[in-house]
Amino acid sequence: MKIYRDLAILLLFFSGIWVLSSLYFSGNDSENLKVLNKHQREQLASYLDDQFKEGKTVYYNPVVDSAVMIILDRLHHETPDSLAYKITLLESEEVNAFATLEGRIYVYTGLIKKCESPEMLAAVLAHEMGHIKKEHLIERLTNEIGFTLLLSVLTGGDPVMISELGKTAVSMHFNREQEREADDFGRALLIKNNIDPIRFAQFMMIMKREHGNHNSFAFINTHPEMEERILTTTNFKKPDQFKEDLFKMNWERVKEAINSQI
Amino acid sequence: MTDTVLPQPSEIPYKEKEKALAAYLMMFATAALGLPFPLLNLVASVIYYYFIKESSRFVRFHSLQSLISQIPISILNGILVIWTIRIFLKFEVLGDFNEIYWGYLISLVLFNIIYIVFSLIAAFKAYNGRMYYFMFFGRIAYKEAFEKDFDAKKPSVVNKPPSQ
Repeated sequence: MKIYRDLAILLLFFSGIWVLSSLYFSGNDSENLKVLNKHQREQLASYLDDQFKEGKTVYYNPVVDSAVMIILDRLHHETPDSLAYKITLLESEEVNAFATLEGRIYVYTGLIKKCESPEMLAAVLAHEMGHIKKEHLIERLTNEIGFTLLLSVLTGGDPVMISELGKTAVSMHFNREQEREADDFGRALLIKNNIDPIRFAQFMMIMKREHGNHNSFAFINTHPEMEERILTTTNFKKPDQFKEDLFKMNWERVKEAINSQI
Repeated sequence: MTDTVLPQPSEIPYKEKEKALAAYLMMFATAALGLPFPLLNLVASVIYYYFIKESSRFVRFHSLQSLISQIPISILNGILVIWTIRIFLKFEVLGDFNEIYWGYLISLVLFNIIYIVFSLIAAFKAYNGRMYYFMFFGRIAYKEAFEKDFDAKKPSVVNKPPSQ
């Protein structure tokens, strides 16, 4: 009937325009991501480094530092890539961790205190490495402020604009899709390194349990949809031959070191 | 069902042409008042249709065509408003300025422009006593206005002489 033909034409027209426009915008963005060169990425990473450290104290403790390096080495060893990961510990009771770009991860000491085992910290780091590998920060920045403006700020060098860019980046949260991608990456990385991905679910359970406590709120606030993600991680099917290889370190000693210094 | 006889422009009184024109212009008059929520224009069209639908088939057709064609446009515009609010309130689901959002925005702007153009054409045609059919909506409005039994509103007898 002609009436249904007309309806089909209208629906096809609108959805066709929508799809074409969306493809146009997605094509532009993915091309733009490749255009941000190594120097610009380093520059952005450096600006963000200043922002993250602003008002915070970088934490140094040989016991905690070596424990974190052992965990990082193991995660990086089995899946080497050209990226040199750098973890900066920041003194704060806040329970949170952030990944930016060029391998930089920032971990608050509050988060390390909440980890009941090195495997749990490894799971958190694996998740953050996922954000870096998938370039989620640049994706978010491009979506928030547009690629042209991002490039303009980086090449222009205006300190006020750069500072504002840094503040924008620090205040951004990754979206649900990005968190899911980082979870998938993290689980795969943990499996490759003989660490049970359930450790990440255990960590999120601790955070959920302590929700309402001011310290834990930050992690929950920046990592939403926790119930769904705990469920996904819990139901994740490990390979048949999988056997967890626990870190051989005294984690209690690490926690004592952190508690005594702060 | 009565036989379908379409009135010709010369047979349509001036007042009916004005009413038919107003059916399309109503949208423009009220759309700005209702921003950012695209609802007021729809409400105005419904009320207008309710009051003039029994004027004549010609008026009924144009006001119905204007009304029902506004429904999907208003819904699509409403979705855009809600989506934009969700982004500004940083909701997790549909909380991003991503390519799907921009594509939807662009296509909706285009759709609205096309709709306005065709509405203006229809308004002009109605003012000249002409029938003008929107794709899909025109057929529904025609069916409702010309293929259903319709009696123009006869004045009811309320005034009577005093009882003897």
